[in-house]
Amino acid sequence: MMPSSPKDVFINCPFDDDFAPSFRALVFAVTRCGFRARCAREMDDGSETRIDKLYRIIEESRYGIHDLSRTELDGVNHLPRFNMPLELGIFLGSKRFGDADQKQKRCLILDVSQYRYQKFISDIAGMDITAHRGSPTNVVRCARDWLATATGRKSVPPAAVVSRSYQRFALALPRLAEGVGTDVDGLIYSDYERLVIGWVREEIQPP
Amino acid sequence: MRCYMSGMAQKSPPPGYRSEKSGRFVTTKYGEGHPKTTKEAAPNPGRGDTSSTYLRRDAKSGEFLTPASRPGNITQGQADRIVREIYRKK
Repeated sequence: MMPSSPKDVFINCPFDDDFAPSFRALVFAVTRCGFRARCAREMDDGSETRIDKLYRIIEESRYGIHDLSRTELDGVNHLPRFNMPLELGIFLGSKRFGDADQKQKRCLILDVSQYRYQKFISDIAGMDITAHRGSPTNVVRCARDWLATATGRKSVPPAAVVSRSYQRFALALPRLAEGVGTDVDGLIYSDYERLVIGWVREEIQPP
Repeated sequence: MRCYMSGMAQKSPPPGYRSEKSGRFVTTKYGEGHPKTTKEAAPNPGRGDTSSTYLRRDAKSGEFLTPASRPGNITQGQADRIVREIYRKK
């Protein structure tokens, strides 16, 4: 097995337009706290199947943030989306059955409210579910607080610093997207991630 | 291409790849003739991934654009310059 990186945080969340602000907030919070965001959207190798790519990213990530917000039926197909619970299951399986390195995995499970999961995925009862109520600001706070606790790193900035940093970045994002030649909704993941990295570097470098 | 090492001719698999869209094996030759059927960077509707950005096709070939080939992709150096300019203006 590949060793997992203690810097990598696997983000497992919906990719729909409604969740996009929270997804962007998650990527920002992870990067601002000094970690590397990993997600299915980074995948671009056509020779690898999607599930193999997910296995690889999950294996390589010590930490995981899983959002189970989208359990309602899809408006078009009237079917639920199972990818997020599946990937949570792969992550938990990796931690349970993997080698000593994989057993060090830690994860945060997010939902819009704290006890809703009991109605659709009761097998994970007993685990702590954190509610973000669909707000990107709360998502940043939840991710920061959990990373600070789970990793025990003193280098994770205080919550107020990360929140302020995110608010400044979110305010500048339309202009940053303009600099790339598109708008916020048109930013592809790799470009967005690079802008976040650039912003964090600019903030933390000494004047 | 043939292998004569063991004295027996061995057939190499045809050049191509498994399409994530259809699940079928697509040969390179077929892909050249039917570019719309071959792109691997298909969206993942199972997690709501149906944004127009992800579905963007190349105007000429009709192929889905991979992250590496999408227009507007920037390097980290370019991102740093964009950020610096806006960050220092604020």
